[in-house]
Amino acid sequence: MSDLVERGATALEVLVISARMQISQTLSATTTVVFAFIQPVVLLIVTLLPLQDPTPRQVSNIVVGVLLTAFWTATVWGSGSVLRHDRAMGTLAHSLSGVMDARLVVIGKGLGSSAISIVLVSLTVGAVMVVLRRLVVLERPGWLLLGLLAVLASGAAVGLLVGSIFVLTRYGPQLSSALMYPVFLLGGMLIPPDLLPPALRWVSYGISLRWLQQFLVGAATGELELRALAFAIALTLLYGLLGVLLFQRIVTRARRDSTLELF
Amino acid sequence: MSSSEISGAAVRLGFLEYAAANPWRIVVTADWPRAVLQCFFFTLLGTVTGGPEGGRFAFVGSLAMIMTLDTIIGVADVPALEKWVGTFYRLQLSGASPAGIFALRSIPWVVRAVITVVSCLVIVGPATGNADLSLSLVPVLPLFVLMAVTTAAAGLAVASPAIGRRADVVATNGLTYLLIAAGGLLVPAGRAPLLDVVGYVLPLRHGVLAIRDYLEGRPWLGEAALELLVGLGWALLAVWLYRRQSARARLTGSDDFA
Repeated sequence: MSDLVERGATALEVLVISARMQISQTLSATTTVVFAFIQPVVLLIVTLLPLQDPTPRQVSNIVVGVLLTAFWTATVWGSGSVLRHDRAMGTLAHSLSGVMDARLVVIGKGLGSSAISIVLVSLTVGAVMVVLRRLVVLERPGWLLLGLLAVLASGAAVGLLVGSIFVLTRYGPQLSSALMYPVFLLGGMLIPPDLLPPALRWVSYGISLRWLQQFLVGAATGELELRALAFAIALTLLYGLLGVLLFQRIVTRARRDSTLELF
Repeated sequence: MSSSEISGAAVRLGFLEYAAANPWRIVVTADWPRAVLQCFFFTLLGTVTGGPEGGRFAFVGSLAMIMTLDTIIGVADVPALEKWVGTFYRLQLSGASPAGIFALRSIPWVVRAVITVVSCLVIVGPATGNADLSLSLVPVLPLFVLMAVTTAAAGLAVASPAIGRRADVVATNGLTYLLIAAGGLLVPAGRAPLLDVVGYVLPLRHGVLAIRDYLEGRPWLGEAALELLVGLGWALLAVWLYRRQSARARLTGSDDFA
């Protein structure tokens, strides 16, 4: 029993160290300025300024939508790029041949990236709302916080899944770019699914951000939608499971082909 | 080599390095879908905030916006490549104008930007219920070509001081987002006076205004001329920045944009 506790504590320590390292890395990366400051500011300007006399619910909808849109960009360029960055820096092979499970390192870094992204984007959005003097309702702060924790977990899980795909090709940056807008469009964050062609609407059901948008807007305006949160958590678990399986498969292949250093 | 031979070699090199870094399968499966989806996204966003009229307004702006993926972010890769492969000193020794050589090597990106606009006219217009608008925009394709050139000049200018400081991602994305906010692409002129002032000296804004004037049957040549003037200003700025950078590199011995 004590052995199990000790292993659990060690695993937690690896997660925390990896997360802290990724937070430092994210704070020093120039791309952080783009997704954490520039993109949310511009998205808020182009969505709020054209609106004539918006209702508080409309404003909350846009604020949550911009937050999740910027968060998705951060996920693609942050937690989704952890593996690619580690490969480029030559540290991936060390993680894979270390005594601790490499998945702990990758998941820890994904969580760190998601956590710092949420904090930075939220601060930017808050500052813009003050400058634009727009009122946002926050009826259920506790549930909002829980929703943001679900966003964090979802980002780390998606990061592991897409990151495992990006590392298979030398054109990871191009694929990262290509992956952003399908989710912007189909994720139901700023574009309501009913504006999409009918054949595409069902896709949003498989994107956790769609449900998180619904839950967070509900929590902000006082209409709690626990079913949306349940869907988001279920999808997050599914992404995480698929990510772990894919990552393991890639590592096994790299070991079999003796390409661990090159990956 | 004569200057025309140097120019021809620079254009050929531009196409060769573009083809090496951007294979067709990646352009077709990743780059163009991204551009089309970006245009689609911002057009629908216009519909969300302004109804069907807002969508039409945003479609025109989005067409201009997606060119910047190639003419600002893509063009900035041309001088950046000199830093990555450490060949800037050779360009310096050649005696040719660095800005001129970079401009000639950027031609593939300008061509690609125009092809991207045509793709969006064909795909996004009908998909968002703006097929008639797509057809109306065909006669003003030369204005999109003009805007591709003016934004490419701005892309080269911002890349110059940014590359040495490893800030090219922030600078090029920053300019792109500044154009989205202040270029009159999605926010109608007059909503935010500060954005209007900033936008006046930015590329795209006057070109898009010329297109909107054309669509509404108003005189549009004045705005088109202003777009040309703004582009000329950015081109002169690029020439000055690269010349200054070359002089500084000779003085400090830092020939790689450091």
